[in-house]
Amino acid sequence: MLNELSSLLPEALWETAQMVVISSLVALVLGIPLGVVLVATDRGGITPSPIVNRILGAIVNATRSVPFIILMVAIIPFTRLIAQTSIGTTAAMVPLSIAAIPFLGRLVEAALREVPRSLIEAARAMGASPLQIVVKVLLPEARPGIVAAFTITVISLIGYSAIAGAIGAGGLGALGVQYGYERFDTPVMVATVVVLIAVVQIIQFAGDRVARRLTHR
Amino acid sequence: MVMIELAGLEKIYRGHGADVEALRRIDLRVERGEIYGVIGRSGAGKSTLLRCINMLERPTAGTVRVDGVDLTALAPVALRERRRGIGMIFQHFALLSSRTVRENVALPLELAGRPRAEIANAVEPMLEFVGLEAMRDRYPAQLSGGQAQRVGIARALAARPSVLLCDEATSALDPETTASILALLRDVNRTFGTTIVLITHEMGVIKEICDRVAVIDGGRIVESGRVRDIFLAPRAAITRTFVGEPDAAELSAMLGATLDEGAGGNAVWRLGFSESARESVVTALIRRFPLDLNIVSGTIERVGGEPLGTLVVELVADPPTQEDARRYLDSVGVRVDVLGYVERTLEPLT
Repeated sequence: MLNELSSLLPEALWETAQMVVISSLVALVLGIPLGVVLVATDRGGITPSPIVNRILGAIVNATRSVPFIILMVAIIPFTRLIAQTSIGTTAAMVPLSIAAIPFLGRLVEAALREVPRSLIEAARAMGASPLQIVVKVLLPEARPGIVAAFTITVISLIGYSAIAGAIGAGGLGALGVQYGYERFDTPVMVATVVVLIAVVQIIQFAGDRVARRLTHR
Repeated sequence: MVMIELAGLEKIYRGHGADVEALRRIDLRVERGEIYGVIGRSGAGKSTLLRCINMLERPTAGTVRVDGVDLTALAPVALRERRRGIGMIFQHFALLSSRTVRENVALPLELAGRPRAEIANAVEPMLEFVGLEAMRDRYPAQLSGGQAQRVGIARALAARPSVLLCDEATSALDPETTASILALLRDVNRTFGTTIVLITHEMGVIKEICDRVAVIDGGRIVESGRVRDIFLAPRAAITRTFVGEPDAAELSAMLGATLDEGAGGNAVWRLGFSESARESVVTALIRRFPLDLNIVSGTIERVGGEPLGTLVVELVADPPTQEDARRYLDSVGVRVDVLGYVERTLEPLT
């Protein structure tokens, strides 16, 4: 049984890692710009645009209010279009990414709002364009907050990926449910939980460290 | 030569219900190379006024000319280009916490798209000018308030602007640091010929470095002119309080009688001395004329290095003698302003 565990666990860990890493990267690439646009288009932002802001805000809220397990099922046609399949590790990356983008977007928005308005005003006084304000002031000043936001997103994705595992995506979640719960295999369950806790701890620790490094306040 | 010209400037904030008139019909000219101060209480509109000069606030009406260009007529890109010629420093410094001192000073040059080598060459002399070359790799959080404002000044000057706007630049600093920052601003003005506009609520700042001053109250300029003239003869009530002169109510209390505008009784005068402060005009006055002087209040200030004295006196004399005394004071160059009259309670001793 221990033998079985030693082969199952690394495989499940690898699947979870794939799901989390890919969807985190997608969230990074699309979620940060989303957060920037949310802040920039807001009333009193650097390029106010109430219409864009309201539409984006509504989409973000809608996506975030759908429970992940329902989101997964609801977007199966889209998943099939992107991943050519609706089950398995690769397919799970699609709903994970879709859920992660607005999640990170909102957190990045909050981090950007923490940048003092006086700095934006100073940059404007220096003749900065809106894009320069984003690149030279907003993003660098919010960097520690953005790192913290990304850390939370990655950790949440580990949780979401376990839910995805329950409906056939593999990974640590699937291992825990299939062996630990359905087969009453307590050691596998315990091992899965221990690994999950360890992974989350490591990610949080690393995220905190990087954020602290970047903080010069 | 006029460097900054505000004409018919108005700023109205459209609010829920009532509009707020922040600036009303402001006309103001700042000459090239001068240090111009705008003083007012908080909420008087001075901050809005300053922000209209680089269009951080867009005026509701009127024009803003800087170096001959009407900024209100410019498209965004052209306006950004122009803003590079107008430096600004802030009460709370507004330094980027994620950048070192050197990187903060380099920011305006980066924004202007200057090449890296040129930026490095421009930043070092600025750091030396403000005396912070040893701090170049520190972060703003590691600096004192005075050092942070020095970085702010170096940053504002990095692109060699012809105008420097100072938004309560010393209000967050202790008196000693304030003096050193004001001295640095004077250096900036002399070394680079930078035209400086500063806003403040402290008369000390105005008298220390400004050539001319405008007093703003309720969104309006109530008084403006050379700093020494404003000191010697403040007209508006608000200016008098800034100069530290007792107002009508306080004067009445000090005199033990109500100060009246109409002639009759003893005159209450403000005498303004400049170089003649050394000569004993008061003694001469008493000896020459059959009158007594009751000194109510007095100050001696150094304005731009020149000693200026003001004396509020009650002139215990009949009207013809008052006229004679006044003519005499005019002839020796002492400024006389009539603050009012009080009922005669004292008779001349002579």
